[in-house]
Amino acid sequence: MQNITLFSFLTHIVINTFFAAKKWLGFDKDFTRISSGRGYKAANAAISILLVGFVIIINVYHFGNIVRTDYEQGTSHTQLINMLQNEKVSAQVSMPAYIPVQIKRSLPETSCSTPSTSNTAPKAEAIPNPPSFYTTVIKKNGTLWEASRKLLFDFMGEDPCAGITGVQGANCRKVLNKEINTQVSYYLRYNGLVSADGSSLLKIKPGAIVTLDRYGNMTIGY
Amino acid sequence: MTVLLSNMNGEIPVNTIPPIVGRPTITIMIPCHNEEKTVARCVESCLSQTHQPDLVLVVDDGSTDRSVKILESFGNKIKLVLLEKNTGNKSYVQQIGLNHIDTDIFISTDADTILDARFVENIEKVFIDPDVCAAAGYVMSTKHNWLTALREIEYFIGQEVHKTAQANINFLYVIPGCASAFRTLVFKKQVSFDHDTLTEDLDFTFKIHRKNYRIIFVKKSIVWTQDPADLHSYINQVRRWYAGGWQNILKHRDIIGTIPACAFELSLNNIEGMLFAASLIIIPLINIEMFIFMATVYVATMVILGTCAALARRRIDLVFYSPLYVLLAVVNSYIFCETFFKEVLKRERNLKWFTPKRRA
Repeated sequence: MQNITLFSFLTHIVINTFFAAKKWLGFDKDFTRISSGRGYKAANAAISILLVGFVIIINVYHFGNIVRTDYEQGTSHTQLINMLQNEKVSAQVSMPAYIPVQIKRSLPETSCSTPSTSNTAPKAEAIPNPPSFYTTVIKKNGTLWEASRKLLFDFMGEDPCAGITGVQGANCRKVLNKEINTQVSYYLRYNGLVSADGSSLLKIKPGAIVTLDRYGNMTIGY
Repeated sequence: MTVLLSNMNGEIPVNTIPPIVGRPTITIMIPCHNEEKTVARCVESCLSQTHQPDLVLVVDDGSTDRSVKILESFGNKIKLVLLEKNTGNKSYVQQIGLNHIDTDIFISTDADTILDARFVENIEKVFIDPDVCAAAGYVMSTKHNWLTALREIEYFIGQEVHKTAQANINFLYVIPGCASAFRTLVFKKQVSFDHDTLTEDLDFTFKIHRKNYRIIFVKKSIVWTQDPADLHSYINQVRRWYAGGWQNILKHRDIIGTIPACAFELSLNNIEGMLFAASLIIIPLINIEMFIFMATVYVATMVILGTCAALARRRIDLVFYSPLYVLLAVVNSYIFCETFFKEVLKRERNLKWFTPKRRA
């Protein structure tokens, strides 16, 4: 006896419904005789392939989602470009890294599902004695993406979600990851480092200095 | 009695199976090994059928308990075949028993099983159709505790949904060993009991499909069987079933391509089963929140299905126990993956039989 699984269950329900309807409507055609025909065999094989493919796609998509919310996985350049094509970033101009900071401060006591989305300047006490800017240099074989992530983590602390567990922790990581994506995406687009159609990143040479100021504005220089 | 019609290879083409004239003659065969707690009730249920079988044949596989004494007390109402040494595998016992059968039809059941009084009456009818080689009865679990209640839910869904659909598309995945009936002549000539897998019932089902014979699912022919009531027995039984399942897929893999419904059912049973099992094991390791969410959905689904089973069986306890099914799903998943690794990847071919503890 196998485990009770979704697609098997639903498929068999559909088959039973079909045969029950056939009987109820009085179609007395002998289906078992059709089942030896070539057309039936082809249809059956096609259904099998579609079903297996569907099950695999659903599972891969499902696992992909789990991995994507993982804090450590980050986002690839391809995903970044996709995001640039799909997301509206124009309204994000003046909301840099403060949301994650607020998440870190508020989550242990309350839910991180209600972070402030205000575009106003940050409160002075958000970061005690913050340095005026953080900077890093893009290494050989390094990417702007990695550099930006490092800066944002410097800005927010090593792990802003540390100590936050359960659903809140997962949400925190999700919001944080999205915030980093937004930051980098916005900067790349605003400074023309992505081609107009978003299909390619212009090359940024090693040695470029990436700077993030205390208000979350990112710049690149040499 | 039927007349033997066979070609040079001993094969009987489907369209030349000799029809049974009048009421068929029937034997009920019961393999037995240390079943002192259950065998008496099993034999009594065979003897109290509305349509009496011509022979009740019990093959004792070297029992060391009181089974033989109990069986001898039935006198000449049954035919008792005693094997001095335990063969260690049910299929050996069944094959020996088969040599003692010369009726049109034989019914195979287990010593821990009780047959409904109309079992024979309902199942013999389907053999009027000469295309039919075998029939599968309807299995129910005797009520005992939470584990048997969960097994009853499994049986309910397995038979009302899955097996009914399989019967509709003319491909029964398995004829249960405790509730099966066969046309003796065809079975002896072309099927027989092999000893190279742990699940002889799946083996002979595949062999019957291989010969393109028809198998009928007879919902009215009911049996009650004893399922494991403790986790140790449950795990061992499921391990035997799954290991036997993989062994049979390897053994009969050549027919997967030739019978579309077989590929269809295997993809549902084994590919989705494997994906589900792997998910249930891997997801808790990488994302516990996702697992909790999945488990919650699964529990909710099982409560709904448990309620359906409770209504159909008129057993309210099935509703209460149904949330626990998620625990069994995890256990099943682990065993499913474990047996896949051992039987398919490592090709260990474990053939050690396991008998769960019986209760009176």
